[in-house]
Amino acid sequence: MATMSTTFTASGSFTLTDENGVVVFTYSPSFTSTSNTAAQALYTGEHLAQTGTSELALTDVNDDRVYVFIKNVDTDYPVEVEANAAESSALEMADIKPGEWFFTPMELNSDGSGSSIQVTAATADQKVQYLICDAIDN
Amino acid sequence: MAKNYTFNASISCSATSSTGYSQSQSGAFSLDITGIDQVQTGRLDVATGGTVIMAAPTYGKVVYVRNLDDTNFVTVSMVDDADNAIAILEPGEWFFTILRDTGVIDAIADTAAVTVEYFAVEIDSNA
Repeated sequence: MATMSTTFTASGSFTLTDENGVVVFTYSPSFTSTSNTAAQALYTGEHLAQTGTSELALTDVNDDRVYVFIKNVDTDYPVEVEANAAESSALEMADIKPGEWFFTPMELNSDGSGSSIQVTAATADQKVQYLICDAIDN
Repeated sequence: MAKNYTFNASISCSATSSTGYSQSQSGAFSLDITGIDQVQTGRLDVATGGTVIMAAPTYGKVVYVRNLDDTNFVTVSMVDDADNAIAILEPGEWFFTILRDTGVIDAIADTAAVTVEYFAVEIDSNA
């Protein structure tokens, strides 16, 4: 076990307002993970999501649980985000249009058959940005 | 009666190593949502046998869930099946996603029932 730990922090803000200007709800959640000395890697960067499916390279990541943030930074088309699921079929976890993002602490694959996050552009290749960090197992 | 809404979302996240290495990302966007019926929010007890967070919407949804429990994790999934997990939330953790499909969102507590904070808002085909 490494002696150098990793921590992850996520702070969000969400507001829904109706057509009369009434705020239906507002939430401002935040958490900082416990210090993780088992973390193998953190990845950040930019990737071209292709129409024929492409994968974010996660060679050393913990497939049991990772923090994943992905944002569509292109201008034209949605991008679908999928993880390999335990039942050997890809599971769509988000469908993000340009400017939109999603964040989740997720399992990449519980059956051990591979660790990957697939990003697929709907109509033409689109750029996404990401931050992925190992989390402590659940 | 169906109504119109504006939804705003923003995030700032960072991963920091005790070596001093750190990376961060952020994002913000706004959605105009037109003529929808399903707006659900509040707190909910999630059972070990599974609890529906959102019934099937007409087109899609934005979903947020935060685990308010002190001890146990909760799994958020498509349909009543922890193997189809979108999120595995330890105490205090939260997730947010946008799905443009008609699937049900379900949550399953691991060891004992947990309370979650959530919203699930239907979105229309133009959002």
